[in-house]
Amino acid sequence: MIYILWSLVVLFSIFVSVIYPPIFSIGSFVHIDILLVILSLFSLYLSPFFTLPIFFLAGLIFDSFYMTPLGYHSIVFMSISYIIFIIKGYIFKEKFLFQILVISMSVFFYRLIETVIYFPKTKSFSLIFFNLILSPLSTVLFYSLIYVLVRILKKAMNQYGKTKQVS
Amino acid sequence: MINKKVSKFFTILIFTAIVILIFNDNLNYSGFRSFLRIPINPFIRIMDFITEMTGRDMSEDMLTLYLSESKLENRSLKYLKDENKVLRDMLQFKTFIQYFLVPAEVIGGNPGDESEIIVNKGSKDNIQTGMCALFLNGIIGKVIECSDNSSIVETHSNVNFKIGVCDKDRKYFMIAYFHSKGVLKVENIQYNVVLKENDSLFTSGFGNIYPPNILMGTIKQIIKNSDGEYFYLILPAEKISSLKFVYLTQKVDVSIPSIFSENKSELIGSIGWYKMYGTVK
Repeated sequence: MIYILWSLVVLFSIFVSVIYPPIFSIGSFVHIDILLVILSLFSLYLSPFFTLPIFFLAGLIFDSFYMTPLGYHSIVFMSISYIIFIIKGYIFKEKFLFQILVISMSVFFYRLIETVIYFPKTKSFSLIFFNLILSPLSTVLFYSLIYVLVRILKKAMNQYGKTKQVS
Repeated sequence: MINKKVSKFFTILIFTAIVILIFNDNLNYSGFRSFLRIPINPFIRIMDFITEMTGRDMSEDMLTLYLSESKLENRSLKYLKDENKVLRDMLQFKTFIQYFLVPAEVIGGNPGDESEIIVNKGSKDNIQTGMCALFLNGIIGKVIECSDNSSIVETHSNVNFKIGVCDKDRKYFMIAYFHSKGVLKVENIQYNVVLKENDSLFTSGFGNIYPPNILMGTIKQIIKNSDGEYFYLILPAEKISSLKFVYLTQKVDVSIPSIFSENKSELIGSIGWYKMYGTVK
């Protein structure tokens, strides 16, 4: 049941990424890669037998919307996910700092591949700046905001539970 | 550490993705692409619905705002209208029509029955339908159609032509209709009308199309019916066939406050040494 919920979360994150103009973007140049945040967190906390196929499909759906060659995003997403699976045994994944590090590295890796592919066509240095610096930064900031909000909500829920028990 | 099962699973998936990627150029994936979009379509529909609802709410708000503003403006205008009416009554405004002449060249027409002529002035020169066309000798007709740079004038040889006429003393008022090419007819003449052949008839000015006191034509013939009724045949003063230029009359409503107009004394008669003056505003 919980996997259906996670699948829906992935579908929603694909939706907010593919619609134009993207919901989470700054001036439609700097994208907040919410799907990569989900990918990183899923790879850190969930089973690879769920994460790998779901992001294989997510990559195909992404390609069907972006009109990129079918399979390109699947390879990139699965590679990122696999790398995270390898490194997650060596890091403290519950620490916020490590989470941020993993997310920023995955966004950087994804954007680096995109820049390498598209730079010869666009020859725009602003693309490098946006993709390699601003996008990971904004994604990390976005995740931090969500993290803080979830912490506050959790605290409030605990407080509410305690008051309920006392009464 | 990562176990072998995961590695194998990853390898299979990567291999599948690479195969799909390789066959991108050779296979047509359009059906597959649209199939892949199906899971996202509900989200898109929901988004569209929300956008539409928000847009509808916004347009409803805007309309309500516009309506309330219009109501407010309407109330203010109504007050101004009433105030204007009161002030006009206080100042005793008199309204009359002033005519301006716009010269135009005749550029076409139908020479067969002379029922219409085309002039080189149109709506760009502020010519409108219903304007009167006249020239030095008298009335020609009225404008019935306007384009940007030309207008069609219905002449007095048109079957639809009719005009209010009167005698030179403005005693008897009648309506002249088309009779035949270049001839008008006046019917239903009252018994007290005493006019002779070759008497001139002028426009009455009723109807606000033709300006008053412009020569229409002369009575060519007085015909009496077997049942005692008689009618006039009128020869219009202006001949259509020889026209090269016409004047089109532009009407302007002018209203002036009569209490501010100067009073003038005018001699209206004298009996011996005694002179009578009338006051004219």
